[in-house]
Amino acid sequence: MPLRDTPIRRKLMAITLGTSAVVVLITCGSFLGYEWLTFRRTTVQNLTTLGESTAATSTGAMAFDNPRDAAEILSALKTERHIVAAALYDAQGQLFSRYPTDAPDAVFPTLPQPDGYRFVTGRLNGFIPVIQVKGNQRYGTLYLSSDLDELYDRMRLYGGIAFVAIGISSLVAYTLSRILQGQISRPILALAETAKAISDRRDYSVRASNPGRDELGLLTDAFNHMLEQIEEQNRALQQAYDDLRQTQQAITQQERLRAVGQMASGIAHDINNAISPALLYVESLLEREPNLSARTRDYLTMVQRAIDDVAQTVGRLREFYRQREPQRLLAPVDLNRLIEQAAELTRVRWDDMSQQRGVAIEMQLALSPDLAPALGIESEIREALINLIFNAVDAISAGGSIAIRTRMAQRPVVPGQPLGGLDACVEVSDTGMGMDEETKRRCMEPFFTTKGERGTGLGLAMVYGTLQRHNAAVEIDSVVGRGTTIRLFFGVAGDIRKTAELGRDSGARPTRLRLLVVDDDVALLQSLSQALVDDGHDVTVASGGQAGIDALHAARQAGRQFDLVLTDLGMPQVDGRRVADAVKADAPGTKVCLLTGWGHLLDAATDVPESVDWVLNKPPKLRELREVLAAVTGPGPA
Amino acid sequence: MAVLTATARNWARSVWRRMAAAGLCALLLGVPAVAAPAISAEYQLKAAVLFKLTQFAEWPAHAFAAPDAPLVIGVVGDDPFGPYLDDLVKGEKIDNHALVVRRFRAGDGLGPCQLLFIGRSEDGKTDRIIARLHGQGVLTVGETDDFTRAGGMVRIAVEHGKIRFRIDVKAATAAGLTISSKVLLFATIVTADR
Repeated sequence: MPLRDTPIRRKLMAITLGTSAVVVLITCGSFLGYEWLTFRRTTVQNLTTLGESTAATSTGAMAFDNPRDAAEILSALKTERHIVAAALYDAQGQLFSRYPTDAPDAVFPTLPQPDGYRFVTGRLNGFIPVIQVKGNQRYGTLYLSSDLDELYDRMRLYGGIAFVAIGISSLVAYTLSRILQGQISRPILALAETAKAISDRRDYSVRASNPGRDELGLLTDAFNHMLEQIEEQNRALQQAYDDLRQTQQAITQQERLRAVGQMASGIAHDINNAISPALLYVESLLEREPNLSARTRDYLTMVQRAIDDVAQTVGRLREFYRQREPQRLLAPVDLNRLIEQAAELTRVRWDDMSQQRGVAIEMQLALSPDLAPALGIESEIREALINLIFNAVDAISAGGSIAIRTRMAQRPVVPGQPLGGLDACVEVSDTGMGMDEETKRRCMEPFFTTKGERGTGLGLAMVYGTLQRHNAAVEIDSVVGRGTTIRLFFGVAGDIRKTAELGRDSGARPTRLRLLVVDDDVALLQSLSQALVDDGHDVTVASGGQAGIDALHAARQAGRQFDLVLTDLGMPQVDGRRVADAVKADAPGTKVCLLTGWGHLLDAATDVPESVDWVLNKPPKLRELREVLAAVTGPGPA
Repeated sequence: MAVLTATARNWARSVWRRMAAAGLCALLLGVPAVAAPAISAEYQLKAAVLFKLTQFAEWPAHAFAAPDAPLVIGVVGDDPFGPYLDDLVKGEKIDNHALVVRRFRAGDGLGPCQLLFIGRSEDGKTDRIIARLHGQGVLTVGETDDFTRAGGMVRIAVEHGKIRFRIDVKAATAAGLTISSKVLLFATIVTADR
């Protein structure tokens, strides 16, 4: 394994052991080298001493040519066990005497070498002059050869000691290092393990334990801090993702509802336009023709009723995405009272009918006396509550309970919208079959039903439309098999723009007024103008927005201003809004009433132009028309 | 080292001198160099011993008239060495003392010397000669068998070509002389009973 891949523990160990071994080795090496040099010098000195004394002693024997005595002198060297050979050469370089006497000739140099001491392999050889100092006479040369066993023995001993010392110091270093290296390796290993655990499990809540305040401690702190940041960012990211998903779902849902609503209101517009002349003529006939035969009157009444039925059906459809009717006042509503009424009105369904089926449904009301009055339209809210109760009854097939509670509560947080104050909350919960996720998501869609042939798919859609018009929020909790809870949040009194309340229908014919009727639908134009003429008004018609504006100009030039302009909203090129603006620009005194078949969606709060005084739905009823005309003569809008 | 060099030079010089002397003799006499010495091998050896003994003996200070006075090798009686001894010691110095050879007749009385060789011709007169040297610090060397018994200090003899010493250490000590133990090592030590 390459060094950089070895575990840090082993690296530290290797460093410690290596360092201590090298240190001991160098120490021992220096010591050994010193000993080696010293010992060599000592050996040379010893041999010098021995050689000098032996040479001095042998001068006599040499001088007087006495080999026997010389041999005797040399044989005294046997006490020096390191001397392996010795010899005396005479002045002519001839071998004079030898030691040991039985050694072969090859042991001794044939000729004496220059004086001095020299190390040759494993030996120290010395050539010492044999001189009689008195008279300064040289008689020959002494040869001494000493083995270096003592040196080698000592080096071997020292080597052994060094070996043992390295062994012991390594052992001690190993033990100490094992104990002490933890100071460095433990935090690093802990850090590495933490990092591994995090990368394995993706759990950023893990923290490395901090060992101290050194660099490793700082490293660990920085690491932990980094983890905190990652965790924090993860959390923020997850939060942002959740919010985004929720928002996206809400937007998708709204878009779908809006699309369906547009389709529904488009259909409603066309039907309403189609039936408007029929209704107006029938009403006119019934009212103004006293000579009708009884049979004709019956038929006309039946036709009127049939048209009313059609209008009602279409009305239900458009309930879904209807804008709040501007002429209807949003008044403080006591929700508790509405709930009691709705419960009473639906008693037939949850009490009597279920008893007939042999199913017991208990209705519990828990109404908070502290509930603030909500701003809204009583009839619509009541209708919505009735729808919710019906749904709850339908959800309970084998008995159970329906609970309706009220309280002040915060509406659910919608991302991107500021938190408001407390809302009036109505909670309708049942112990029925519940809804799965798909159903829960789509339950507000028009024509979506789980009741098969029995259901219209408009109940909750109507509720949704009502809530939209009231700026109310809805929250649905549902668990399959456990039940459903629907909470409605209504804004409390004080924050919704009020519109004028129209005066009550006095029944009296209004005074004669100069009217301009603008519509691109000729049939409607004709029937409407006829009805107004019949009521005794001076009616001018214009088929289309531009024609209407032209008529306005003509009237102004003639100095005969209109009292009221009735204009359709949805017209090609020049629509009702522009007509209304032209009216106010031309003759500020002239009132404007907008007729709409809901072909265009108007947000009650913002989309009704300032120049419009009233808004009427198609098909316009004579009664409603008369209310508006009465208002023109009476006090204007507040 | 200087000592060694000096010694080596000395040694070389003496060898050269001896060879030169032999060569000169050969040239003058018209005979081969080896035949030059007229004396026997025994006396050549003994002449060398006389020379070498000056190196292995110590004299008391009063033995010399002056610190640089020559060290005189005296030969009394018939001279067995001839010019050989003179050639041998020529130019040699012991400490500050130049070596000189003097010859004395037995009846004439003895001149000052430090080493006196008493030859065979004086056999029988040895004790008288020695008696005269009393107190003068003279190393006496002889070759007769009873030389030490006659009061002589060192008797030298040649046996099988090798020199043999018999030394009366007491006599030498009494004269204030010291003979090196290196010589005593292979000498026969005797004491004259007087």
